[in-house]
Amino acid sequence: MSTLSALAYVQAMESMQAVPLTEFRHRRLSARPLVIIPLAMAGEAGAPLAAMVGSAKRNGTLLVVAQPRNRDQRFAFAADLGQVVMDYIDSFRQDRRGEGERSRYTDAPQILVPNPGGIKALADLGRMCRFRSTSGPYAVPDAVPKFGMWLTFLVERAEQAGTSMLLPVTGMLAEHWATGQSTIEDQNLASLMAWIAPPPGLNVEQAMAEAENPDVCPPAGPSTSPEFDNRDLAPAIRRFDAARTLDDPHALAATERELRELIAGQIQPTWRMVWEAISLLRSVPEAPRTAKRFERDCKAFTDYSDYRDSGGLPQRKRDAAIGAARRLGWLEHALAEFESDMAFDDRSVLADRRSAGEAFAGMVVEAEPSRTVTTAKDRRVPRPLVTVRTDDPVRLAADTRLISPSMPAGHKAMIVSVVRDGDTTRVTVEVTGGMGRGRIPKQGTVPEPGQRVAYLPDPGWRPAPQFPASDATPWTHSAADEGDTDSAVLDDAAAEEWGNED
Amino acid sequence: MRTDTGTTPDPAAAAAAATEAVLADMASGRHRAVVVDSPPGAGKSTLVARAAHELTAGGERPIIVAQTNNQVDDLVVRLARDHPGIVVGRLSATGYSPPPVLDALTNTTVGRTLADLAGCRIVVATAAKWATVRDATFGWAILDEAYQMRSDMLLQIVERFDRGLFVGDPGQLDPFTIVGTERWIGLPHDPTQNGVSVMLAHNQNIPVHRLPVSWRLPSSAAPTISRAFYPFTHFSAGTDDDARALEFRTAGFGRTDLDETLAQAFTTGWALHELRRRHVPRTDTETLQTAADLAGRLLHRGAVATCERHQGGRPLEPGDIAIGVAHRDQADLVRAALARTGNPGAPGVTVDTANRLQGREFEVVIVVHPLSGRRDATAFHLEAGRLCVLASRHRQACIVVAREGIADLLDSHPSTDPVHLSVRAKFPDGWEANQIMLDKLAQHRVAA
Repeated sequence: MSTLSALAYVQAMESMQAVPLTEFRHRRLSARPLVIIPLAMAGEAGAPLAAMVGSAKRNGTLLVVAQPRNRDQRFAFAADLGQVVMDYIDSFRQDRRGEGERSRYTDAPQILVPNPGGIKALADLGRMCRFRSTSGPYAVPDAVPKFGMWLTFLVERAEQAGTSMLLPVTGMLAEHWATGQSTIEDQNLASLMAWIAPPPGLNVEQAMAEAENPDVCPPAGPSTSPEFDNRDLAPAIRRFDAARTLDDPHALAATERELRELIAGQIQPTWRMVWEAISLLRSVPEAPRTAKRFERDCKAFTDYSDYRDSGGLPQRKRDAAIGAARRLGWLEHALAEFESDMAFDDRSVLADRRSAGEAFAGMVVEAEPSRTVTTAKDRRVPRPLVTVRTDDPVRLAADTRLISPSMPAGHKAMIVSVVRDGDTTRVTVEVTGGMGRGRIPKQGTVPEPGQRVAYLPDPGWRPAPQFPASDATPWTHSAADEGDTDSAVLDDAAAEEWGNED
Repeated sequence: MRTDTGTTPDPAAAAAAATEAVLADMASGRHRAVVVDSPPGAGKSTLVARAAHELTAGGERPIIVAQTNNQVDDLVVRLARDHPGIVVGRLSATGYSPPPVLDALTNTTVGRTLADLAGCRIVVATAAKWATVRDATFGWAILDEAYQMRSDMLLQIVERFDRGLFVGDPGQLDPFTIVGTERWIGLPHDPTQNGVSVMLAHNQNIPVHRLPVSWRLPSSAAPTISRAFYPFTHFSAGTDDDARALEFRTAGFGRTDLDETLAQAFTTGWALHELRRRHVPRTDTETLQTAADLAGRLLHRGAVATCERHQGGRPLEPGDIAIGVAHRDQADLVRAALARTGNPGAPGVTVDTANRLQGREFEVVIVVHPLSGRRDATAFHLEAGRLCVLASRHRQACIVVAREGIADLLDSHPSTDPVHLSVRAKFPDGWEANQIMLDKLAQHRVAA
């Protein structure tokens, strides 16, 4: 944590109200997001209990698995939820522009969950669904495997920094507001909202006390409150099972209704709160570069959508060596680019980076605008030198490539030297790009003495790392006698009781 | 440890035997890879140069992969000097300017592509540069500092060679990623792991050698470092107790607190300069200024170092001293504090983080303890590799500057890292290594 963000957290604590950390919201917020609040059953990994889903506050659909241990009911639930989600996703596959390779959908879906645990729950659900067969023994409805594959696509995409197709609301809020609580506490939607926007008539302390009381503010999932589990849920499920065993349709309907009401009571406060958070987030202006990142989301959405249409296989259980290495490269690049984008757009984020010495801003004290050098290809090109005096604790080394939010687009520079001068630092940079094609830089493309400029490192374009072909994993990363690991495991190794076989 | 020195009366012979065993395994042709674990200062570069020479003598045209440009430069200089008859090529990126010492050598060539280096018997480059080379295959590659190379990097260069000699120090800092993802935990080919572990996980019967003697660490340090950071592969010091010594050139006057610490370090090889117990941010002025003052005082009083290389003694120069810290902002502040000491030699003292001190060697090292003044012990600060790097750079003495209370901090923060299926327990455990180091330092404590 840098000095500046630490200061914001301390301020929030002292004034007992959330303090904005950024000028902008760096995540795109769709005009029509789909909110999913997944609940899971305690004690059984990956057993969904319920979900509330919908793309408007007033038309949320509550789906409940009355007996989460029963596989038939689980997949019936997955089919219902899958239908809602697939209808939503399909509604974005209408408007497609561009020709051939560049053809893509103009909009992309956005699913919002209350917290990072929600993403984990969707990942589990995706893994549970995507390999299921729609024929043969234990067949599941057609929507299930497709839903599983889409969920997995969204979850995997969400790992990449700066994407917006699946996001936790708490993450978006905590990125913009500093509160007086810890990072872990910030993952609790209710207490985060208590800091940012306490309910009318309550101050932050009172709102927080309520947020921590599971009877007033039930947890935002995926796990439910243990008290609720023991006191209400377990007996209700038992009554439902009893009714099922007796094969009494009236009792069955009554116990099912009772369960739905119980769960509705747990899930609806979170549902309302998520929509409140969304309208809060709408009031924060969106950062300019969000649009550029959204285009990449649209491309990824189009590509996966075409892959699905062509009958593509479900995602693998585990990454293979080359896929994993390639993926790590993307993830690192996306993170560096997202961090740089944020600092480029947002003065507060830039100030944060400056206080850590990873960027600097100051006054131009010297400039040599007419300097030229001869390149290796024997061309004379302008390479003006500019010296900036800054009070920032610069920690960048010579030869670092820079970009500048205070200069016209395309401006690029490289650090020549960093010299301490008493309490200030003199940074000399060579302007290397964004000056037009001529031998003399265009007007306004080279900082002039007296001008204030800011610079930050250029995450830059990197050639994609070249790995061996995916079917030729080299000896260091594959065991010679291994063959296909997955086929070495018997098909029925994961066999389990399917449900109440009756 | 005592038994170690007992069974290896002649460290030179033990080291030579280990080297021969490595070369024999390489020559046998039975293995695709040979791994050499090397504790700090155990003659890794010598082994690399020797192995490269043997390979060229056998008609091979080996390549050498190092991790940073500095490491490549050092290796090229080393190879060219040791083997004047061999032309060494240095493959580099555009914009690279060779250091003067490399320019002065006649049997080196610098080139941007392999075609430029057609006449070279050995080609050296960074892993990142080798990753850009296509369509060339060599019989042997020597991978230096292989434990610092990530598995995804190894995957990019592995097609360039048939067999590999992996040389490195397993006790130093592991490679890392800033991406927080759990999806590869437990996979044998986890791309965030180091290349050696991944290669060993996929290949059975790969011979793993270790170099048994540290030529850098003095006999006062080798047993402790060995026990704390290399619990299963002990090594001993290559020099005996009286081979190395430090002496002041002037008598002390004023600043008795600093002098007491320096005297402790000079006589025993270790010193813990302990400041009052306080919770402080890592940028705590008192701690960092004390580290700088110790270096300043050392320069001011002047010291003569005697060792096997300089048996008549040699005055310590600023370049012989390093100050090691955990974070970059601490390094900046120590540099500023050094300037405040007013000593003309102060700017020549090396100040850097553990990551950047890896692989380097000094006479005296002053360490700001990563846990000093902290309220909690995070995985970053407990990492064994970090402390290992800091505490194993010195040939004469190591001085640790810390706030009192690290022992209590360790006691209240036992390792709580989650245990994952299929992930081998990592040794040494950072928490335990820290305890062993603290135990040792407690015997050399000087309260400020």
